[in-house]
Amino acid sequence: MRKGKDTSPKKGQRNPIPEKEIELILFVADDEPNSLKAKENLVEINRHYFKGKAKIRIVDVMEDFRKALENDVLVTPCLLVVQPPLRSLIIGNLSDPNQLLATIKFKE
Amino acid sequence: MPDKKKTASSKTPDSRVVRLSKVKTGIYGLDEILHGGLPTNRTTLLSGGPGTGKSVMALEFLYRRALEGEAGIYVTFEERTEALHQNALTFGWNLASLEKAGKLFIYGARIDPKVTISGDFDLKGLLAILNGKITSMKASFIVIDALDVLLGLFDKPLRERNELYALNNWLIERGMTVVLTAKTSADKKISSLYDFLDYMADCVIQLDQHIVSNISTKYLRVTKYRGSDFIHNECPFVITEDGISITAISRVTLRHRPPGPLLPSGVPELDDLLGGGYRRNSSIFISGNPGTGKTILANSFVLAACNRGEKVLSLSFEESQETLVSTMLSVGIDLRPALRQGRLMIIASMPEARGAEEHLYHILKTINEFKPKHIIIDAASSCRRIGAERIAFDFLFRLINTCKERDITVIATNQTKGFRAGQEISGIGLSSILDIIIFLEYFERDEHLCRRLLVARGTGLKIQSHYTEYRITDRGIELVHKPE
Repeated sequence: MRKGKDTSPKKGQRNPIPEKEIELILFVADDEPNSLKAKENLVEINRHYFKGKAKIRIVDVMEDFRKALENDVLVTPCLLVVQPPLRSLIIGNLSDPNQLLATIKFKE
Repeated sequence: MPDKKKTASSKTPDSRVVRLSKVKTGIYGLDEILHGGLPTNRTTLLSGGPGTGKSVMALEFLYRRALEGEAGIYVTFEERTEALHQNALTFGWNLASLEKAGKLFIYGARIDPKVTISGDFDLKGLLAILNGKITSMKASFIVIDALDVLLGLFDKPLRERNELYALNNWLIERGMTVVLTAKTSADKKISSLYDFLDYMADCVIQLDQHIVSNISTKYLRVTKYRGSDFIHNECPFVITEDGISITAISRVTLRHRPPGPLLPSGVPELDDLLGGGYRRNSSIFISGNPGTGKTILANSFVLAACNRGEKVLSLSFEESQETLVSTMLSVGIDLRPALRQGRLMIIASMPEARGAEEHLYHILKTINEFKPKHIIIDAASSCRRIGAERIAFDFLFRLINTCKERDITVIATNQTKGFRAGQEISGIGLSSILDIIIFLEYFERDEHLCRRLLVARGTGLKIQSHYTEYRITDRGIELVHKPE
């Protein structure tokens, strides 16, 4: 249920939505391996699916714990979808882009 | 797995001479059970089924510390913080003001049940939050409530354990005294995590709840305390309007003091049979059939004590204050002046009205406030109606022991059903802690029903063990002297 694997869309069935309307905050912890992986994966997802146009902010919870507190970021890495205005959290190093794409209902 | 830090080294048996540092919980009765309190800079596990009082107990610990100016953090993954605040207010705990003062921080960490997982992650976010708060508040204590909810995100037992272990170690390294709560469950997945928690913790407190005869009682038992002794018994506790209150059963028996000086019974001829009277700080048991005058005998003592200016607390489980006062008036015992002068306090309550723990709590609270010299329990036998035999026994045992500890004389009446009173003394099983036992009974003579009494036991007294006839007159109880 939490993994949401069954609901992930298949490639080739997606219709494009304006990439500039995508705004994401990635919460990381320092240069912890999963955080580094998440950064890399997010850059790659942005390049591959959003033509590099999604707005991405990176917050290091080790530097700013209040941001983590405000957004209930208990685990890292963790991605907050700000736009479209879902306020959804996707946790993990984003090794599977489909979770993010399904969450924002992104269609190519 | 990460190495255990130096802080844990005193756990080894060879260094047990090092006195374990403890922190008082401030929870009524718990520190005695723990022989001083929770282990400082160690981890305590508070486990139990739903509704057993884990959260209240953990919160009370932080609250009591915060009142002493020592800061603590309460993280819950389950309860809404508003609900927690509301609960606290029912105990008169103003958490908000302590939060404002920076002595308490309550964090309701919500985990969106629909959260999506993509790849690996860890608990650094939580650590960052805790680190920030611990540093800014200079907190020494932390409660983590329902951590299993967070750990469940990992969905892999081994990983859950590793993260838990790492989190715990991190907190201990930060110098924190940790209390973790966990729901005990028949669920195999949860119980495997639980076993690990149990192993990891230095002190384990289990809470439980049994329902006997429709009355629910909560119990606390300490099952483990590395490097420290503790009271091993299962101790009933109650959540009162002031918080948690626990009375250990076993500790009290060790503290009996010898009976004090002689104390008039209120019936001078009875004093002769007793070898001078009752003894102060002793327990006196008056047992007999209905109508033999047990309450009258007990209240003869009440009147005498109040006339000497001593305070008496009378627990009436049989009749209302009005009925008791007017019944006594009819046999020449006027309790009204003593009531007016505040020397006598009567608490009349139905045994069924509350559970044993609630009864006990209210009585102990009254004892603390009213500070009586003597207590009447009329009737001990009614206490069976509080619950099962065992519950009645525990209740009376703890009440009588508590009184003895505080140098309070206890007079308990006991109603027997059989014609001969003697056989039923052991019925409620209290015989071992009673100092003086008096039997009242009927007997037939010349087709008349007469009454007689027997002092069957008088620890430390030179008693006369023969039946003595008595009458109930409008001047109370009068002994009939046999012509020699």
